[in-house]
Amino acid sequence: MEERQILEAVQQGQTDRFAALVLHYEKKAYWTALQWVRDTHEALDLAQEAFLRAFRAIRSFDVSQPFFPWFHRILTNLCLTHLRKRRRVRSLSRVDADGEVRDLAISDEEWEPTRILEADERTAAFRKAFAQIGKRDQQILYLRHFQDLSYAEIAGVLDIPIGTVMSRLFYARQKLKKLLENELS
Amino acid sequence: MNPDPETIEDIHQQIQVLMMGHLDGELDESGERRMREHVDGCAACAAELVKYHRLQDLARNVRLQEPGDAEWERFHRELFTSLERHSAAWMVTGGVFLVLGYLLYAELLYAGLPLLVRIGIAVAALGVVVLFFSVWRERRRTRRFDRYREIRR
Repeated sequence: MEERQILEAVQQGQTDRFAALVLHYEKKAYWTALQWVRDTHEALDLAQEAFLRAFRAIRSFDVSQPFFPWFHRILTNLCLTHLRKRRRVRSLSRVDADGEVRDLAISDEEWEPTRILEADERTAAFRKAFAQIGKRDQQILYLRHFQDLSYAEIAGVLDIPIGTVMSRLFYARQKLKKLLENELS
Repeated sequence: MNPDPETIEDIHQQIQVLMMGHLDGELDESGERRMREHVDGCAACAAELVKYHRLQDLARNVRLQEPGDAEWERFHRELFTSLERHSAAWMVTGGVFLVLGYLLYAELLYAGLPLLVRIGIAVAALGVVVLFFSVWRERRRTRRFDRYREIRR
């Protein structure tokens, strides 16, 4: 059954169909959350909460659009809120210790896609090169290679035109190719 | 007359951008044809395409960390229970409010109590229901992120 048909069925009240979406996107959701938080348990909890929120808001979803970019936004916002809360707790305890207030803003530094890559000798060179390229390049490669998203889905997640997806992939892969020159020759 | 060298570079780059769509199976027919025609006559771009294919293979071998079976089991159990309860909660809420609405309507219209008392009863009854659901929903939300939920006090 196509994603659109499932979404329409859920919107019409066949709520049990939502399970199919969960099973299809649960790993992607987990990996998305794990890039923000370091803990498996927390990542699964955040993914779970994002599915619940998506379910509650499903009637407002435009079924002509792909589901994942919308869901990705819900999940990313949840992760950012979670990190802000966690940081607030930490910074409060630090205020007591040294009297200084820390910045609560969440930066891209918190986003760490290399966290989700499994340590494996065969792919050590790739992982090393991947860690060396910029976050912007990591992001587009991560969405394409590891999340296996289509260009339309990537465009939706990053809010950029499809043509830009292709050119950003080119620049990212070009950098990776230079770093892996020996392995690829 | 030879074309401007910069233009040649641009063409190579445009073709290599198209290669991305080719590698990912996202290129349309005309793009595919344009890329193929260029690669067939350009050794440099053909060599680049081979490297990009190898890079693709390398990336394919990278595995992502996955939680254990027990973690997935917990994830499914909790999520599907919550989804079921969410639907059930709306039904219960709807039913309770319908019944309560009817009872209040009947009580307000037909009971022989003074008007002020009847209004008091109605407001208090509504307040109890709203409080009940508010506490219940808050508990459900906060429990999810309670770091100490597994600690027995």
